[in-house]
Amino acid sequence: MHDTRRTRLVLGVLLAAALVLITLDYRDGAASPLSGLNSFGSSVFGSAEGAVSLVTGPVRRLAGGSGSSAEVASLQRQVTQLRAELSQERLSRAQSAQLESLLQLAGRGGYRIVAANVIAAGPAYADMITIDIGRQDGIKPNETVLNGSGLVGTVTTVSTRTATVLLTTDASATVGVRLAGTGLIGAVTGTGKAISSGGLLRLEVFSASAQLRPGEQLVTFGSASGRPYVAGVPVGVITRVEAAGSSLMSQALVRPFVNVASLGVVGVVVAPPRTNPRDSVLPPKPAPSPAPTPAATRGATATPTATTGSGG
Amino acid sequence: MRRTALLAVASLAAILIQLTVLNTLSLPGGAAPDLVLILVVAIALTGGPTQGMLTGFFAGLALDIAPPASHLVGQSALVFCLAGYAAGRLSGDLGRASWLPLGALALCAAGGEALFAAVGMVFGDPGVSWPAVRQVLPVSVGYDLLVCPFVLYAVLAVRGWAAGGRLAYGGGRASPAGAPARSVRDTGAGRSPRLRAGAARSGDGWIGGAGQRAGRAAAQAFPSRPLHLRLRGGQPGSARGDAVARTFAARPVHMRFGNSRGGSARTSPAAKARPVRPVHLRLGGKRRPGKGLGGKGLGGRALGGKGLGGRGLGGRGRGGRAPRGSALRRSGPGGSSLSGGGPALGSGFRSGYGKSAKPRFRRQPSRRKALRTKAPRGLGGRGRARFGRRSRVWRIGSRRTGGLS
Repeated sequence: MHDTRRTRLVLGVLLAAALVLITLDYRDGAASPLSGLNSFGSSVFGSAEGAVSLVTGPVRRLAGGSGSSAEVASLQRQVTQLRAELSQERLSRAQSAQLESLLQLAGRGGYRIVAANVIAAGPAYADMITIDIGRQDGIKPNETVLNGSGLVGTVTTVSTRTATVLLTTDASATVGVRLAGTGLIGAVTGTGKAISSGGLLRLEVFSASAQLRPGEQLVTFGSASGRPYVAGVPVGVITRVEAAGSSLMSQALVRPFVNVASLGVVGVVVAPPRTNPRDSVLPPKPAPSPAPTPAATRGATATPTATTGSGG
Repeated sequence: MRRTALLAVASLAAILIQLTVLNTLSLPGGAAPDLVLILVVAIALTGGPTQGMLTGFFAGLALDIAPPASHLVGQSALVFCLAGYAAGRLSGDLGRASWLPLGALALCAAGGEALFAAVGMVFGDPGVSWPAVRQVLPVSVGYDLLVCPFVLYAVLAVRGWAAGGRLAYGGGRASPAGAPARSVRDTGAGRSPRLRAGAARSGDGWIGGAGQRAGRAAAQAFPSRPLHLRLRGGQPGSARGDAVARTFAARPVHMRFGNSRGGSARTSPAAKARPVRPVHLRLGGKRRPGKGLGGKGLGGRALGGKGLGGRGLGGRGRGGRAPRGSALRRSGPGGSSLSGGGPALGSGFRSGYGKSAKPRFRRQPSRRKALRTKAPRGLGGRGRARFGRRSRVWRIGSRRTGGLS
């Protein structure tokens, strides 16, 4: 029994099964026969994660909660009408502050969002999260996810009650961006866990002669029909410009506005704004190059409606 | 059935805790302990390779399809399966020092993390780049080390609770393979498990009883620290380890460790003391039969005190499962079998008697402690069968060595 032929037979069978699974998943991707298995796992484990996070969530939020009570009270008064459907008792103060800033950002950009809670986070080498809304809340893949600070990521897979979000800091995520002010166009790619400080993005501007400066802010350029990224969402700020070298592109490191390590309330953009909000969504205290804030789009479409998911 | 359910529940709980709590904690260093991997390795260390790799495969598969997973389906299953198998293989050889099970747990966890990263790199996962591995791997292994003792403690406690007094620890199944003597042992002290900093005496286990009832039951079922050798007519199955205490009531054999001088068992041939019929007593020689006790050391009563390493016999339950159809059962219908009186004598102690041999070994009680505490690992230690390979048992049968000298 300790190490018999039977043990080795079982080991061989299991290894072969694992390799077959890996091969199937590697070759066929979304069309593989494993998608059924995946959706099964998503529904089962998603529900379980939602249930568990109901218990563990308040504990986690206690660690991240902040803000004086007076501030919280005023913020609560401001957003009372916007979160009509959010059950008050399920929200901690930190959550309501996050939701308030989320709604403000959505209002500035004219994004129609559905609010959600983060209930789980992904494996060691990937920056992915699970949120507690899914297909029954109207979420579809390739929809932009943001929070009160800026761009969070994009929805990759959706199950009935949960959805998986690929964060912008993941090494496989690339977002088209535009530099606020100068209007230069580039792309940011997540660095994953490759940089020790963590959570940085690498910006490549499609111009060898571009003069990048630290402090410049980035917004999303926007994809066709707002998928996977809607336009105008704040992404981050340049922290370090790298020597161009022989590359045709200027490179810089970008610190995202969103701290991916402490995500709480996020919003999924279910309908893009009718007009491109340009730089209007950026935070009001800009650095060296103050972004012009076109007032034309402000307020015209800013009637976001927030609904909450049933929360698993 | 109950054990399967328990393993499934434990794995699911570990997966959910991993995904909803540990991964969202954003610990410094950008990594988190891999609770599922540690649990799998701990289960394998206490339950053996089959249990370990089955648990690892299915827990890994569940982790692969649980929502925020981006890696390939089957990747964790592969890695955890291998880690469980490796830990199960290691588990038979860890009773020597108090830190060995924890060291093996940490080793297997680190190996599993590294293997996971390697598989990710092989399949071109964009997140698993070399700088990322250099960042994440040491940190996650460090967190794993922190979590290891607690998980092992929990696994032992749950095992003790689930055994409900029927089995003390480990390998669960009431198989004829006998009492599972894993590396993480139960001292049968009848108390709740506790981590002990170190084994003060060499006979001590480093983890206390796995639950109260289980501990008492273990103390009763395996009074194993003193050596009991019982002789019985070698009907098939009589040598099974778990049945020893009950079925071998017929005729006790007293072993006598006559010569206590160091190395005497090794050097002096035992021809003088050999009984009339040859006795083949095999103390788990590994590669060199001449060094094992069966080769030269054991004459009828010339078990050298030092040669018969006290650790191999006197209380270190070693690899306690004799494979079915081992040498113990090959002594023929009229022959006799010699078996250990519990987990103390396991795969490290294979014996086969000639036909109708009736050796009388008498063991001097006063020397028992000295054997246990001071004996080097000369024969019992070195010659111990590490993993209990069946082929070895076949090879070192009486036919080939032709006796003891």
